Amino acid sequence: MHPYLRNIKIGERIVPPSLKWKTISVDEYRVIYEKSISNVVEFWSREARKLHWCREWRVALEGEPPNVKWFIDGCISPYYNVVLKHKDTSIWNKIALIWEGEEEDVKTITYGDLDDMVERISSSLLNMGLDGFQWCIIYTPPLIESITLMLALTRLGVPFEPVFTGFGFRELASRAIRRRSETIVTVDGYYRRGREIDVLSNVRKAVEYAKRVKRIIVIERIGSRSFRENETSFDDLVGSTGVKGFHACVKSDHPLFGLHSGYEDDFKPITHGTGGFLVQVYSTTQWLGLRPRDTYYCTVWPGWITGISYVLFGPLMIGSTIVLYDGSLDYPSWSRFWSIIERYAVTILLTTSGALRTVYKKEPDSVLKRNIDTLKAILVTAEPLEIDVWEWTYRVVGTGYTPMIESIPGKQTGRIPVVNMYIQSEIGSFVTGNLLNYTFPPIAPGSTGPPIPGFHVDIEYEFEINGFRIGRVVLRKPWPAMPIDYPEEFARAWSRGYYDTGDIGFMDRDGYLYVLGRADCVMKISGFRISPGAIDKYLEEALGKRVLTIGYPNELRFEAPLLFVDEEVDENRVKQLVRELLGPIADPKTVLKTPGLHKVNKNEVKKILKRSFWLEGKLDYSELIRIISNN
Amino acid sequence: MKLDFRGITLWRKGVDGVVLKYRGRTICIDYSNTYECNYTLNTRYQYNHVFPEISDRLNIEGLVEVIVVKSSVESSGCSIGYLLFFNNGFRVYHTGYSSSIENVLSIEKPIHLLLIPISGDEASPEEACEVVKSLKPVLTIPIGFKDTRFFYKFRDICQPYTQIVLLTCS
Repeated sequence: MHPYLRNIKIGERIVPPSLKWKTISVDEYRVIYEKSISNVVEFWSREARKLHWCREWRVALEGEPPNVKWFIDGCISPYYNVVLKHKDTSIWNKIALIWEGEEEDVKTITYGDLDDMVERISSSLLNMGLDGFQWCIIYTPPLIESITLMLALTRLGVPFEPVFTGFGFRELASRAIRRRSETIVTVDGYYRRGREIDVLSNVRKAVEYAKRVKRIIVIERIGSRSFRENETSFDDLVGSTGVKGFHACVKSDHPLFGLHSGYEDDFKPITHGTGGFLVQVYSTTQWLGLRPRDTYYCTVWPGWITGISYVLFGPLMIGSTIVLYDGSLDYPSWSRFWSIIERYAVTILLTTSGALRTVYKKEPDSVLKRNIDTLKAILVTAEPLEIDVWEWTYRVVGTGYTPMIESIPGKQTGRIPVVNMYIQSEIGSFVTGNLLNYTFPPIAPGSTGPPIPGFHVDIEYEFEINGFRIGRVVLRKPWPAMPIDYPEEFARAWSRGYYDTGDIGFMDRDGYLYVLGRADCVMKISGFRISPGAIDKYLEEALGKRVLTIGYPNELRFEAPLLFVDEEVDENRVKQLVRELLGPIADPKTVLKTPGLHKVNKNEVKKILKRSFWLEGKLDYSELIRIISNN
Repeated sequence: MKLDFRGITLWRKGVDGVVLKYRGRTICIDYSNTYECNYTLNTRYQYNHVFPEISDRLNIEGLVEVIVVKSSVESSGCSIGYLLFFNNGFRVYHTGYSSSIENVLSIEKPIHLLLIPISGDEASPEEACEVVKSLKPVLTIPIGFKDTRFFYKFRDICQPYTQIVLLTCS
């Protein structure tokens, strides 16, 4: 049996002491939820009125999924709704961003200063010739400079795609080519576990490949490089005087940003429209519990949907203070992770199951050296969270030193909520979870919580394992942040009248969702969706040999790539190629020589292997090779 | 550990000392080093010292205006605070060592950065927090403590009223 299923305790419910008086019953939750999904158009129209519109929409929803449009003929200024609306309020003079580098330098900027910087940058970008029809690629760690640059693009109505710096130059080039981008924003480098990581060289290689790119804007983080002719220092952008007061008012379906999502054969681009996305992100961020007086820390970098929705847009729309950290969470030890929360009095933490799993297994006592009592909630995302990791987070991390109602320090009774939530790039925001500022029924450890009002999340039953009715996680109705541009796979996912997320799971009797992993062969590595086909493609090109990649269960990373190659190869060389071309994020676990690989139907074999992992847990390598060879 | 805020870089020196650097000039408060400090300000004076008059002003090369603020008078001497107005509009207030809140009420807002001892010797964390509630500074850096329990107490009460940053000292 899948190891996750072995440890699930169905029916267990926890009410954290800090939310004792705010927790509602499941019946109360169901009344609110059922009403919201009975008319999603009315529900989201009401939410949309919380934003400022240059012109209100004529029709809230039109078309059939996947080809729907929300808030038709509505015009909205994304920059106004994210930053400018705070002008002349007390938020304008408060800290917007705190950045800490791995070397312990700290920078802070207020909302007012942020706006001033954005104004200057957008003026420079206009002078460079950027407009709303050109895409800009952002390839940086989380920095104040990259956040202001993305806001400047938003201010001008220029769509952008942030790319995780864990991707290699070929993947960066592929994305620049698909977006027909002429501009890449990057850093010269950053620090990772004390070493300098050279990013600019990677970008230069990518630009040689993606010949259309004309200009590179470089944020001097390390400060050790000289620039080439097509490279501009970010400091030059900030030097100009800004175009006062201008911020683009765009149509609701104007592209705001894009991402590449992992599918079986490759990464494919999706684009989110402005109006629907901002409505959805603003509402969900409020419901998560963020308020203007919160200091919020999210460990997910922009480059992934959580980092865009819940670092770049949502918290700034609320007026919270956001902590950014561009180093390694475990450097010089995992105590660093907790010290950031302690030092800046963080009140809400959003992190990944992978980060918690790793610190739980490697340095569980590191949290005890710090006082993180300012925390009022820990939100978790990206992949399934095992029961034992949830328990440790709730009882050891969450109890703290401050007594509260029934929470007793030193006895690890738990104090604050630990909420696991479900998100996907195509959806744009969390769609399940217990909401501190809306519907908060008791927590079910191991689940991603009940569906959030406004999102009709359900299970399409497929098979049964040991009494668990497992099926596809689906959304039965459209949501405001539906992609305006999408690959064929997204359209096919709607072919049965509902959206098939590609994830697999089950719901308990109260409707709490338990996500177990991918139904297809897309890999979930440290919370990130990685395409096995992309690895196959790059390696087959480089080696001239047939390659099959599958995600193999991994104790720390959830899954890790396992590679099968049909001839003898140097394993180290293969791993190096993967790191260089796709990126360190896809670092393979091992490479296995598999005779006869050139004869098999790769897609069929991948499905068989995946099913074997499900039914029998891990299999040893010789068994896997035998399965492939026999097919 | 160094912090950058609106063109000013600051770091702590020991338990009490703070160094502020702006446009190549360094101002040290309760820390003295000929090589590191262009200007030194003290918040504590013994009676056999020559000490500045309250409301004295010092203009540092047109970059910063420093105003002496009354803090407290003790049997052994006096403690004073400093307001620093930088020519880019940035305003810093170092309260000096005092448990008296009356002086604080006369300080003109906004204060962008507050440097405040919380050691409990003169002002306890709770008393220091009263200063924060009155001034509502944008950023607050607690100083003058060795026991981190003072920091935790101060932080947990004050966080809603200001952004607190624990700057580790070198």
